[in-house]
Amino acid sequence: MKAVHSLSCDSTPNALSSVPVGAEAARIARAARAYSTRRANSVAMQALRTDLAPKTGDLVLARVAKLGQHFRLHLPNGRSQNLWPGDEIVVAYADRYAPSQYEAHVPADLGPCNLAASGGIAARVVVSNAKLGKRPTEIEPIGLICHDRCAPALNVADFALRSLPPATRRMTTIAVVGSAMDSGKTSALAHLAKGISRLGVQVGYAKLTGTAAGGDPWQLVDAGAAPVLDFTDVGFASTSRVSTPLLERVCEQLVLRLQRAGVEVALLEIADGLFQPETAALLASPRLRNLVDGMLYASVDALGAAHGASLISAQGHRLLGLTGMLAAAPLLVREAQAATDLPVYDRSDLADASVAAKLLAAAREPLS
Amino acid sequence: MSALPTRGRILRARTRDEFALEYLAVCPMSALADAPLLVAVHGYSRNAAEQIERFAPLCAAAGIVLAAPHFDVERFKDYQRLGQRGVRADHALDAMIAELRGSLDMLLGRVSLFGFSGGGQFVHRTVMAHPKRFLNAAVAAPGWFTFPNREHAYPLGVRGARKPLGVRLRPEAFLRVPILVAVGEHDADENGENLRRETRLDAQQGTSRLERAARWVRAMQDAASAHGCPPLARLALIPNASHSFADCMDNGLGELVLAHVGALAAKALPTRKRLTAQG
Repeated sequence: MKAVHSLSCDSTPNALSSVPVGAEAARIARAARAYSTRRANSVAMQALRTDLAPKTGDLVLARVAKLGQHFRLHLPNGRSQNLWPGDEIVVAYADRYAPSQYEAHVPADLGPCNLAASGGIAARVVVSNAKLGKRPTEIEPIGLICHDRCAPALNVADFALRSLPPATRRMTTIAVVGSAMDSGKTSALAHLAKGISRLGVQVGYAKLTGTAAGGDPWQLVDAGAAPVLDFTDVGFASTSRVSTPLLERVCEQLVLRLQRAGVEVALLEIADGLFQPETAALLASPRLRNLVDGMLYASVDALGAAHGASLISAQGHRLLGLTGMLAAAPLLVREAQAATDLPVYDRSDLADASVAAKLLAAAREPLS
Repeated sequence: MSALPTRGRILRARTRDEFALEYLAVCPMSALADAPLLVAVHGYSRNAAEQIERFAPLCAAAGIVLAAPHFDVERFKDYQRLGQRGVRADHALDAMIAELRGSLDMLLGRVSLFGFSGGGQFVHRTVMAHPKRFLNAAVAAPGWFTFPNREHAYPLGVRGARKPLGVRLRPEAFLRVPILVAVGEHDADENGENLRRETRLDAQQGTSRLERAARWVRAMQDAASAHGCPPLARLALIPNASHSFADCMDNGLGELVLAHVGALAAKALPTRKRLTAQG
């Protein structure tokens, strides 16, 4: 792991936390910690409360009741741990919006709910994609995790990086948005990170929205991005149903963090599709426009590419080109280019230093 | 090279890799950090210095970094066809650009290519093989072309290029690179020196450089139309010029190339005006 990589976690208890104060603390320490809770300090996890209603971001100790769609848990270090019925896990309550999987909401009580994402999201599934072969994994909350029994539940926001003051942006930023979930956004940015790092330029990455997932950051780390951040670093297990002003702040803080780390080029990922409510709100936000020099649009098909490109441009963003699943299909590439007159970059293009230089130059071009 | 000032003087270097490609480069004193790069490729005479000598004043005035590789005859025997039988000239060019980025400490993200005669052959084939790396290109008086059709095998057409080149020549990609084809109005000699003449070639492309340039531009425009792309290949005749680089430059080739490169540099990728709303 690179020294400057930010995927620090507290999965290995330090000296203090290795001496749990009581039985509840010991039980929490034995449980598998999810990626969504990676910034939480295990020293603080001393007690359990069952007399509170859960809120978004609250940490909860839960037992796996019945395995379903998510049968693995992303640990803070990115490893996927296989789950077994009866396993106890530390996860965070949060909403989820994932068209290819679930819509899930934070329940009003500590009753049985679901593991809504492998990154460690506790929520009650309200809508499932019919293509999923399995039902959602069922979990039984044991108690909200607190520092002591008089304290409120620990929340991922309690362990966020401290806020940075506003600063003039000096680095170049390229964002990727997509037509849908799984359209190839993360892969595109990982390849672009490799292309940029081949230029000898320091490149960083931040995932601005989405649901905590332990695997994605490592793609970027492996491609040479440093630091690699996501919304969990600023106090969110998921950004579903987060208000627009708060999302704008998430974006600004993550960009400031990258700049503070000395990054010259920041790659930013916005999750899900253009019609996802938070993504749509962010794209329309003048504050996001001020943060982004150029955009790549990942699409799964030509029709989505044409309509999405038009939507993005209509919001005043500079669209640098198309990428994603579409780029693997020459006929779709031809259709998309004919419809949009935009270049289409496949993964090998983006990992090419010359193409990366060309994209950077386009992003840095003064706007007329 | 890094110990010497890198601006306002002609740099002579050789890439520090297996290609050991010799090249000349000039970074104007006025070049901005995001200055574009023009690579000018020599023809049959392999005279890189002449490319620098004639283009440097124009590039200095425009703030464009200029480089001219020297593909030596021993190793880059068929650089015009990218090195099917010798060292890969397109890969060597890539190494040269990468090294220039480091030497000049500049991004050089906007790369334009120019080539005269054999250099024009090299340039249009390089753009066809690596279209996404270049903003635009200008070729002057190539002896013959690779046509954007699959009826002919490479190097006459794009069919089967993957075997010798390792990449497919994809019209949907290379048709999107604006290419200027310039040819002297008197470069119509069917028996011109170094003009390749073969029955099959003549039948496909014509019998003179002028005719071949016109046919190729037409073929590129037709292919663009078939692929739903705007026609980005265009032909320009250089008045009073025959098949001579000096002659062509004396009659406006340099200005034509710089206008093509400069006019397109700022809008090679689609840009949209950013809204002014502030949050």
